[in-house]
Amino acid sequence: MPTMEKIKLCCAKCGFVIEEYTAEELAAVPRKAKRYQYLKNKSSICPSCLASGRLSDIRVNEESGPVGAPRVAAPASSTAAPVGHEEHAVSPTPMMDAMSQGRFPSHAAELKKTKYPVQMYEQALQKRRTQWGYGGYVSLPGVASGVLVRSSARPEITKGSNFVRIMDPCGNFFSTASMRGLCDIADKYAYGLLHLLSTGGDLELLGIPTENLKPAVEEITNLGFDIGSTGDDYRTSEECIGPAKCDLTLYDTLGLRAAWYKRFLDDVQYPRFPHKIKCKFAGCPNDCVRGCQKADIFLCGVYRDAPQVDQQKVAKWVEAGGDITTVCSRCPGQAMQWESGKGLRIDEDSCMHCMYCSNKVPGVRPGGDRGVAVLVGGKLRGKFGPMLSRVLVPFIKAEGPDYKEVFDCIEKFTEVYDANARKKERVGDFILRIGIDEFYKLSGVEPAPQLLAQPRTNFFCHWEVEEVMDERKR
Amino acid sequence: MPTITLSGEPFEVDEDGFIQDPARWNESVAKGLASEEGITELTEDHWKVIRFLHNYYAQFGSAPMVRKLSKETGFDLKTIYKLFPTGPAKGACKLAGLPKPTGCV
Repeated sequence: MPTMEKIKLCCAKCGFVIEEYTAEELAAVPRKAKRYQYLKNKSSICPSCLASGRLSDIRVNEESGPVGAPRVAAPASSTAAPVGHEEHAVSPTPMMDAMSQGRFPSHAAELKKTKYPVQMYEQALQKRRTQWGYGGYVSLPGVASGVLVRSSARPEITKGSNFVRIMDPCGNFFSTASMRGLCDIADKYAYGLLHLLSTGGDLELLGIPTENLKPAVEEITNLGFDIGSTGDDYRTSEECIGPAKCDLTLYDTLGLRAAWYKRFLDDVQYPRFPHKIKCKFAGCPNDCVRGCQKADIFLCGVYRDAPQVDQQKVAKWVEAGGDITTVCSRCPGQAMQWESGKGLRIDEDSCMHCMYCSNKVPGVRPGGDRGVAVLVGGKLRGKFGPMLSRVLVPFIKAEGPDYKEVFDCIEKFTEVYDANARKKERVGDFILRIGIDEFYKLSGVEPAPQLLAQPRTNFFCHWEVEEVMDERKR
Repeated sequence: MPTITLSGEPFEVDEDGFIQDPARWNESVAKGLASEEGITELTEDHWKVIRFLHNYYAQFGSAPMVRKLSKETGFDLKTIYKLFPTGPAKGACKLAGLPKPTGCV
């Protein structure tokens, strides 16, 4: 077999190979020669032992094998998920070892405790590029949504992985007993790894082989959970903790979401819309769930009257050193007035309900006339990029237990979206394409000052041509 | 390209089992393909969906949107999944002799 001279740049202390070239390459490719000289003359930190210093170069004669041969042997079996793990578990993982050091909680250490194919992550770190391929949906008879697949760009390490998305209970509350059940399922069928509360607010079990999908889904269903929230349907909604832990909430977010599941569960599990619809429910305008930026449909708790002021509490706070003048000066509507003898006065008409005073001053609570505002069209991705949501209906009374008025409004809106939007068009893109006037006309909403993009600052109104012409004739 | 034999005639199919030539579709083809999709017996409801899909394809040359399908046949999506366990795209379109749909059905 022919031999070729290989030049390896290694850590001087532990011998970890940083880069490797052949002598022919260095002679023929100026780019590589330049990089070799650069790395050789530079002080660098070894990713394996974290020692800093110059790299040493070693020249060895090696038998030349086939070009691009995989470093690790391909697994014999051809099934989907955790196969081949045993062979790769013993391969060295210097980059992940380095990430396991230190006092902080390490994801690398957690991954290594499970059946996750660690070489996929290790190779990604070494090559500085992910080794996973494209993703998609898996068709499981009888299950319309909830099962996904992520294929592998390195089939010699792993063939890919299926995973199921489990819809979380309201408020992301899991009892330890049901969590134990989910852990047993993950140990039995999957990698033994929980991806807790992914960005959509749900829980994913990673790495289920295709033949195990059906029994795994059956066991999850028997446990009282359900899978769903993939494809062009309602995704699992997120809501703030609401009355379970917070004192500022203006309506029962958990109850509303439970009612939402009761009414729209079919639309969560059976994809029928042009694109996904994400819903978020916030208890107050503080918007801890970031619904205004991220949700296609966003229900925000609002109040219409002035904030309630407990004068004694406020006076006590001011006596203890509370800086009431600064709070008053920062009120965006200039609605707050403080006089030491008379107490705090908040003007109802100037109040913008921004929650600043309620957050800062103990004794100022949101007003009593409470309800829900429906906002639509926020998103981060999509054709036209990030958008903030617009008000569809400024105020609806949120009355349990079935919240009929709120959900009728949502259903009417989704009908408009479903009938008029193009394939794979998010709500924000759809509104931008047809125009906000046309959209409000289709939705049939009552005109209100809150529908403007910037209420109280924008005094240009959208008039129909005929209306203006009539005015002129008079 | 693989072929399958239904009622004595060979049919060319793609890797997912969709027949390639919609013009050669007839009712015996649907009956033959039904067992593959986990359907034991084709009822009148099945035929309503299959005939609608086939006629729509013959007229417009593409598969209809899900909304159109459920509106015209009167079945909601859950019922369609009960009739065709693999869903409207994989199950119903295959039985109706449509090529593999790329869109949302």
